[in-house]
Amino acid sequence: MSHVSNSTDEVVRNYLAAKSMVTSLKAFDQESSFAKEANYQVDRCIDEMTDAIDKHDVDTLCAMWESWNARVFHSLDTEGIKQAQCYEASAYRLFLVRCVQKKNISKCNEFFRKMSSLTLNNPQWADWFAFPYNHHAKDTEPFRKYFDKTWIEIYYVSLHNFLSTSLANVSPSVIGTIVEGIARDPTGNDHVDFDEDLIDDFAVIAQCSAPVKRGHSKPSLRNLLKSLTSSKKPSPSTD
Amino acid sequence: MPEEEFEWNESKLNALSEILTQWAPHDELKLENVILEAKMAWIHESTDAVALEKEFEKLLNTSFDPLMDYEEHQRVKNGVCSPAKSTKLDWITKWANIAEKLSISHINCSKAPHKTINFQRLQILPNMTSILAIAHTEADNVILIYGHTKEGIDFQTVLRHSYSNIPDGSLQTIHFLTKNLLDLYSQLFSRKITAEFKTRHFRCLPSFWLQYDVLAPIFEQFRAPRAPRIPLDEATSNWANRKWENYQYLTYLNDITGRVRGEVHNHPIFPWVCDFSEENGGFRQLNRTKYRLCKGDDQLREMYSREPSHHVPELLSDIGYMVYRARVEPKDNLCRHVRRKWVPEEYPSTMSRMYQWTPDECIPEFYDDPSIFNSCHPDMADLRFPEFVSSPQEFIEWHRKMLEHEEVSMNLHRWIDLVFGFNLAIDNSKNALNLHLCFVEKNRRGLRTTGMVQLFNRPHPIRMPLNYDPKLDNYHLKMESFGFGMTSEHRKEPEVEPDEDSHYQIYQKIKKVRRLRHNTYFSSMVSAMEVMAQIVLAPHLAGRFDDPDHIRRCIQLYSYRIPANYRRLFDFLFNTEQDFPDCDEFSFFVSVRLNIPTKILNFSEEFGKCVSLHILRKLDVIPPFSKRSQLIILKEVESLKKSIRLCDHMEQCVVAAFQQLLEDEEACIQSVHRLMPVITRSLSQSALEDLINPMIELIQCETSVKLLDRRFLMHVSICYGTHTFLDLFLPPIVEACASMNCDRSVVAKESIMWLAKRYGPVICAKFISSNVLRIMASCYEAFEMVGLEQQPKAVFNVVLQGDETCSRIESLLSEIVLTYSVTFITVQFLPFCVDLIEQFHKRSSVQLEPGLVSVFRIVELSIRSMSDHQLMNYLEEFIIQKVIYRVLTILLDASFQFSSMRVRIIIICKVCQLLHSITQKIGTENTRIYANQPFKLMFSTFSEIYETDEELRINLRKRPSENTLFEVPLWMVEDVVDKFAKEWGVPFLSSFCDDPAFLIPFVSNSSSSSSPPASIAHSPPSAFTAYSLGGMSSGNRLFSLSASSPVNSVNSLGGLSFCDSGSLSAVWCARVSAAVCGVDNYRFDHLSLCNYTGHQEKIRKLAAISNENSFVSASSDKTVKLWSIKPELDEIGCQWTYQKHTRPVHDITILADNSIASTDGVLHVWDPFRTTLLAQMEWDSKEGSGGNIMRVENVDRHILSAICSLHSTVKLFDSRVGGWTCELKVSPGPGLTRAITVRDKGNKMAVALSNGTLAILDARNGKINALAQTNSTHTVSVNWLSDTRLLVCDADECGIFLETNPRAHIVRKLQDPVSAACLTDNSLVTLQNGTILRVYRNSGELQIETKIRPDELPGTPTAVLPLPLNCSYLIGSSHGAIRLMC
Repeated sequence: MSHVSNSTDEVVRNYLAAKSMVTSLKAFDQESSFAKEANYQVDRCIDEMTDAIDKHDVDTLCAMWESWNARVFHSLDTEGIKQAQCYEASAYRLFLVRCVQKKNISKCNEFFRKMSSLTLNNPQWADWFAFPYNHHAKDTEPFRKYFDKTWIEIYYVSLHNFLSTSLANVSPSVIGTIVEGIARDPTGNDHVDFDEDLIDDFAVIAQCSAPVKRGHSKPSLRNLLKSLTSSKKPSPSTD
Repeated sequence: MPEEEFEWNESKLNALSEILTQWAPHDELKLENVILEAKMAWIHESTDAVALEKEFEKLLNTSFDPLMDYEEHQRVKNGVCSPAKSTKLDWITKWANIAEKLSISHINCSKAPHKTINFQRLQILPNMTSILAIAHTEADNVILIYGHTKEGIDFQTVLRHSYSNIPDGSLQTIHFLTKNLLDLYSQLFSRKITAEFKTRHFRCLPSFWLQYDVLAPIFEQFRAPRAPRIPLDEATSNWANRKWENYQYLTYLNDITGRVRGEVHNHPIFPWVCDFSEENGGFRQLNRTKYRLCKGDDQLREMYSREPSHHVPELLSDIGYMVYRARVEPKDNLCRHVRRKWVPEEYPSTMSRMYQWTPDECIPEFYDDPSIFNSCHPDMADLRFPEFVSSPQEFIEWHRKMLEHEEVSMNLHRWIDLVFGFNLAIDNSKNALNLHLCFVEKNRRGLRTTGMVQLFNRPHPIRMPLNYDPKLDNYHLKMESFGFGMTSEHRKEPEVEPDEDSHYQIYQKIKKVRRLRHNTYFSSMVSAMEVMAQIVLAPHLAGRFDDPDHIRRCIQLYSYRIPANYRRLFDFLFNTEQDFPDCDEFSFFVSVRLNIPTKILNFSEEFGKCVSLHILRKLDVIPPFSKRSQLIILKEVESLKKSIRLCDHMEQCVVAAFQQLLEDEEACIQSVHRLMPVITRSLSQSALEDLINPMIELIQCETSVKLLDRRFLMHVSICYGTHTFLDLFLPPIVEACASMNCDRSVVAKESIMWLAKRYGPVICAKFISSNVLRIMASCYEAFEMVGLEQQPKAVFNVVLQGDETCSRIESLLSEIVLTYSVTFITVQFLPFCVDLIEQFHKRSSVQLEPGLVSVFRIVELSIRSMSDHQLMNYLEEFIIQKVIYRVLTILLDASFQFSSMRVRIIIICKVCQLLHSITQKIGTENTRIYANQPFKLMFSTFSEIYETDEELRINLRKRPSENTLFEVPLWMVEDVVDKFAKEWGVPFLSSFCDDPAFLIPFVSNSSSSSSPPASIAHSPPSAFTAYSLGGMSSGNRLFSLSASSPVNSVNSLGGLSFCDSGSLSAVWCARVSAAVCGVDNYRFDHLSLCNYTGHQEKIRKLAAISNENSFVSASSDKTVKLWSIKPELDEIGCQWTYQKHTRPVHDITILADNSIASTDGVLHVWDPFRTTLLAQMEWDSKEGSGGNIMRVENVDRHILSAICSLHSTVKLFDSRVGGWTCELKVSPGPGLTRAITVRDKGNKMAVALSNGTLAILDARNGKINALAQTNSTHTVSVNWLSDTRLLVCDADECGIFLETNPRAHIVRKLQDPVSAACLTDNSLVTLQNGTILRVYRNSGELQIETKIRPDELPGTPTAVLPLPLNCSYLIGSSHGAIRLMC
């Protein structure tokens, strides 16, 4: 994985250099030096998201989720997609809660206007249109948990994990696969050992040490014990 | 004889053209034993020539030029304005062109003497239905000849049931289907064909692969045009405004949900409206399903409480349907669906009874078909209609009138809600007690094609009352029916031609003109997008496909259901003026725009090869089992192998394809052998479970021989784990031993022997030999004798049909005995015999009769393989008393019933034969001492039945009627007496008789017939020496000669008997007998079975492969050693040592493909069989300070989780990737990880932290489910006991059971701190307080508590590993010793 991404970086860098796009090249270098660590990326993403929520920045928030949906979550399985939808909805709801706490209802309206494609006709959002005008929202059922401190903490940790697992599973980019193909071609056959048969018995492995020789004192003792145990043994039941 | 191959070549085409002229539609088209499918069409007057011309135009495009300059644009613009002249259809040449384009062979027989035949090599496009040839027999017709395609489901049906086939969120499936579409588009585009894609022309293979019929649109033109269906909302408003009758509306609803008359599982549903009690009343409640009315709410709730929770299984079951139509359906149909036995009285006789009986809804036949009343069965009366009507016709009229009754009209909307409407949706259905099984059912094989379809998302409007006055109604009704049947207005603005000033506008105009020029290409792209939209929005289309306006409206309404990438793509459908892609780039453009994952792209490319090879093989052009077919199979399997590796989330495709191969007689063996390793390594657990049943069916198949060989069985056992293998796969293999097919049973026998040796004595006794004993009886089921004679003639040497197979099983058993020990006989075989005879004595049944014969075989085998001492031990009490004597009493007593006289006689013959062989083995004198009971019984019986008169003639004796002796035929008596007289001589024989005089006539007969042997027979001493016991020492022989005290001699032998026991030590024998006799697995006898020497220091961890014949150990001496459990040895050295660790090894675990992961702070993953290091991973993190990796744990088949001493996160390692995949945070607070455990394929992972927090999370996506607070800060280990219960072990505190649901609380505290714990399926094994071994059940109660003494194990025990199948424990100590104990 890692060497592939490196060579992909190389290809992009060469392309930028060839087209003499200097500023882009600089920016690219800077960012790629930052993004060494996968976890670090995730942390930064989540920081940005909390930032956007705190600053009531609808556009950034929506743009973030849009790009995640398009680039990260598009290769998840059914369970994962459902999880992603839940996390996304929760993020928007946290945003709304934040806005209402800061008494910034115009932002709420802006959100609903912007995200109409998500919220319209959607039964999961039906309750939320009234939310900004509900003064007892903190204690009513669908909204209560979004005010809960510990729930929010756990939400962020879970989201962090979810992002990092789905980033790990994200399918490689088109360029990446091409580069990988080029990189693999000279080596010839891929997965040589993949086809080999399965074995599940260590007895197959040639024994490196000779079998243990028995001493002379041991067997006699053992026989003695054996005769003791055998005399104790109940005769097999005849039922 | 070389087989002839059927090839698709020119001569075949000629032959076909010969046949075609005689062929008429609806016949079979047969070409050399191969039946082909064909379709025919004629041009007639009513055919729409213009539309046809258009279709041809789509197929026969001229070349597409992407570049066009402005002048040309002007020219084209003028050209477009003038209408094109309609030319006459040039029918045959057009078809010829099409054939050439698609490389289809073409035959033209229209001009009678001349034939033009144009042969083309077959070319298969994976996404197109393949056509062999196009032919004309007349000037105005066309015949399409298809290859045979049985598979595939109508794509619209698949979409209708999308809630199950493409459930919410299965984005990968949608990607895959889209990719298929795009491939199809480019396949067509490269041939310059621009198809208008419609869902109805697609078929879908079980593996989700789409196939398109290119010529279907043309053929649609020839058929009489169907009236287009009106939209659903319009229909609804028609009904609500009383334009439509109830009957018409219900028919319409059934129609658009895809229900078809005559299909048992998908038949139209109508409501019952009345109970037939009176002419104008008795209306049924329409706000509940008939099922609910019939069963009652309580039962529905009860059903909901079970798994899978649902209220209604079916609204119209096949049973109900068949019972309704009982008078019309043929008898075998009824028997297949209702009850196998034909009892005409079971079918309800009158309409009212039918109504009371049925839990199902009605069918339309009762509203429109009088013939349903007239019975076609001679023994079943007609269905009776109520008294107030006089004939079926009148009933139908009356019933229709009831359906249109005002009472029904006003309530019908409630019923529609339940059957087609919003009450089907899962959240609404719970309150209405209307949750259907088809919405919650999981793990169906293949695609769903039947079930409920939801059409409405909100309550259905009420029908207008008859005297409806809109003024009086305060908007109530209007609001309800708002939105149904509104016409959407299309406004077309006149396009203003701007002046051509800016470049941009010029560009736009050029594009527009070009679009006009390539109009067909453009509409093809749009239609492809529409199909995509229909795939994405399938649940919301409400049964209305291929309607562009409807699709667009749905996209707008349900945009939240559309994934983000697709939402952006579908904008093109609304605003076609956008920068639309060029048609040659369309496929690439869309896949980039949608960002279809490369995994899917690669997979579908590879899988496409596999599918097209499969299609090629299944075309009737290639005969099965030919060389060519074999070649194709090889290729197909290879490409399937590659696609399995690539499949990722598209497992269902691969599984379906693999299942197809398994069901294919020709391909199954190849595919199984080649694909098992890949499947084991790549597929997930659930996908593998789907494949269990097909695999078992494959093993059970009578003709398969190859599938019982070792390699396959080993693959299966590794793939599914030994538990599943022994439970599910072993019984069919044992059954195969008794197969009539000789090869099959030989192979099966070999395999079982191999399995018995491989798994060791305990498992052999528990799973293998017990099954083998039971299967033995099935050899004799028919009691048929070899040869023509079915009645036995002589007592000895009766040969039965099953003897050959049985002797094979016998040799299998004796091999087991030889390999392990005679303990098997004494503990298992003989008790089995005694038990079976007891059962027969209690209740004699026909099923047990063959068992008796098999018992004799087992006894004979036991006698042969026991040593003399053991034989003398078991002879009197077991063999003679409990088996032979018992059987004889049963056989000679006529009050015990046998199925026939013949069977009884055969069994008597077999007993005598057994007795004879026993006497031969033990000698004459011993027979007299130990085995005289059966002889006495026999001879006394004989003498009671027969008597002799003075002339030595033998007559039947008169007996009182209460005497229930069985009359043994005279020839049998003669035979028996004769045989033993020859063996022993008459004087000796007479010692068994109470009435020796009885023997005289028999003996005199025999002596007269053969005097020389008789003279020898009269000398007892010689006979005695001939048959003395071979193995007994002279002292014992003297013992038995003097016959002073047989009891003593038996005892003296008994003391020695255990020393002589095959290759197993006495301890193992005791183990086997305990395993056979013991009911529970909870016992510990302090027996040391085996000693594993080699480690120098403390054992940290032990782990075993699931077959329990090999294990690994990790020790503080920086090594990992591999061991093999060999029951025949007492002391074993290790097989191999892994020495690449540099520090003491902390933890070790074995992955699904038997590679090993061990950690000494650095994680090593290595392959023990090839002894190669696969990966070496350190804990790298951005802080730079990598700690030591302390624990590793399996999450999945392929994923490991690891924790580290200095961090608060968990890292996951994937063996398929070969590196860390991601890092999971465990809790919001600080705290270092201490211990980890995983359950249920990664569903539940529990991590203990140093601050006392215990986090429970989902290991697959890191979702935190719960955080619990415990007191232990130095947690050593955590273990899941059940789904909600944990064992937490602290270094200093006592261990605790922690219940996590609903809140974390301590259930129980153990007495001592736990130093090591290990969990099996049903028990928990712990080492506590240094030396105490305690075993708990899952529920928590203590089962075993025992102290391990230092003389049993040097040092203190530090690691424990239970081996549940063998009921034993591996225990490692601080001195580096490992013992196998039990």
